[in-house]
Amino acid sequence: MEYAVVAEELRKTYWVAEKEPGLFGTLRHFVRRRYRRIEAVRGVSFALRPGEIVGFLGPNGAGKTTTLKMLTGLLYPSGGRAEVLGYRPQDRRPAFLRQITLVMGNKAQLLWDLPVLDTLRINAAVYEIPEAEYQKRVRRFASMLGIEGVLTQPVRKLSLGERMKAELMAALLHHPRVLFLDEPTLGLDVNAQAAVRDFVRQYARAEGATVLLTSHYMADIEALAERVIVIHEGRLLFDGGLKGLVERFAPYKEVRLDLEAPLAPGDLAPFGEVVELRGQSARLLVEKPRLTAVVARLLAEFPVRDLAVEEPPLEEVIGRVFREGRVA
Amino acid sequence: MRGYLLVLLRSMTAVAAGWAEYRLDFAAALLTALVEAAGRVVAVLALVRAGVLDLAPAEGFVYLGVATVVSGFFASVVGPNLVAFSQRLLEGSLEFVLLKPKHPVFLLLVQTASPWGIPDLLAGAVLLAWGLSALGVGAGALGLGALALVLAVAVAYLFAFLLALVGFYSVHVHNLVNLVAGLFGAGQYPIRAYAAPVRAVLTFVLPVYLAVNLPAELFLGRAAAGGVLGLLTVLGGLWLLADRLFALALRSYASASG
Repeated sequence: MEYAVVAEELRKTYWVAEKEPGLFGTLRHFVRRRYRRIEAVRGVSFALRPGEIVGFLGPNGAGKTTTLKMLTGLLYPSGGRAEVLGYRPQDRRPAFLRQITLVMGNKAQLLWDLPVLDTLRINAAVYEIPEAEYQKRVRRFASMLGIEGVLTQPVRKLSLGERMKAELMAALLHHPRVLFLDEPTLGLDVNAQAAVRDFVRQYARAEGATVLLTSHYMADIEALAERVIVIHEGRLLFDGGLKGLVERFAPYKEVRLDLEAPLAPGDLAPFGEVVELRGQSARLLVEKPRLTAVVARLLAEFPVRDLAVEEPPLEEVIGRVFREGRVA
Repeated sequence: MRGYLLVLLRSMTAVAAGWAEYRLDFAAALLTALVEAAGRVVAVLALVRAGVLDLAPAEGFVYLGVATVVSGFFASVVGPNLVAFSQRLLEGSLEFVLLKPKHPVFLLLVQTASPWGIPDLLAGAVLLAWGLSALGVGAGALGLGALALVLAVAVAYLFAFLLALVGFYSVHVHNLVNLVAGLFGAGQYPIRAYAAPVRAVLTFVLPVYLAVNLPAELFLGRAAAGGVLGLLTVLGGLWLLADRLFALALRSYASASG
């Protein structure tokens, strides 16, 4: 199979009821509803090869989750074509559902009042995992995620990080070949984020799984994905390598300066875009063609204690892409 | 089939474990239902003695027993699962059901249960046993009635589920569930006790006769054994309808934003 996941001119349109505030608005809404047409996804195309880990980026409301839901068969596309592992997702065939999973950072499948193991046992029955194999997988995943000690505690007593790790266990227990991860590290602290990332990386490597990952934490994308797909307002903005994203949308370098004496805000303006100026430290973005000349002038004109040239942080690159809405 | 039975067993084990977490709630449910069951017995006895129902007291208990069992099933299984279904539509967590490789209608019908209906189930069983033993009903009628009762609650459940599919378009179905449960309560009296138009509605529009009266009449030998086949046919039809309508409604599912 050449591609594990294919989206071709994928579209999703739906209607949303609108209501004015106040009593009059409520009465009118009750008697006669007004609907607005929302074009959540407007012809998005991409393909993922088996084993690829791809970051799926976009601001809130860009259409990421809607696209993931169409690829998992939860939503019927309004147009275009989706194909995952050779199946049409919206047919929701059991053989297809056995090979995929969807993890949503803001939604839980674990039974709230019961220990994690109770949900895992139900999932084992749903996916018809033999008892010995189930025990083996639980031990392996719990050890990888470091949550062996909490599996018998009610879910409501777990920390957010432990809960997310347990959600991952429940979602991957059946060893899916394609993982759709929607903000899996949402709200987690740095350590828990790192643990989740490590687990996903290890799992994908061991099983040769294909992963499509959305996250607002660029650290997730940088750690896991070599390729990124960026969508904005339902349209594809970029599809390519992380490096390509930086080169295409950030044709500049970041210069970090540590000075002997503080500077006024206007002092550095002629050299590039000042991102940050704090006392004797400054960060500025300089266009790549001017970089050598700017660095030479900075060293010559200011009492520089230290100077470093780096790629700009991915967050800033993505932020610019979204603000400017540049189409690939 | 074995896979489905294992899912059912493990789901119900988890549900029971959930009840064990809230013992006081269970005790309150038990007390409430015992009081309610006592009230119903008094009402039926009064109607029987007044000659309104044209039944012997033991026969009245059979009708009431079946109706109480159905009511307990609604309180324990139908209501909680349909409310949970509605909640899933509201919160957009239907995803976790739709992503599983088992029939989603089955998973939605067995996702939870409440202890609030258990006392009704027990009280219904006691009333039924009392009435049947007083009448000296034979093993054949007992077996036929019991089978009909199992099929009847499944018919009532699928009928309520079909109505709950409105939730795909209107999300809140709590009131609808209460309405349906109330209507099935009408079956605690023989359907002939109602006026002709009401009888027609309870037979041909709502399956109250099938789900409540028919099992009681099979226990009492007042209905033909073919009634079981009728129940089986209706059950199969309702399942096919639920399957098709659910698939159709799913096309309108927009999920919740996430």
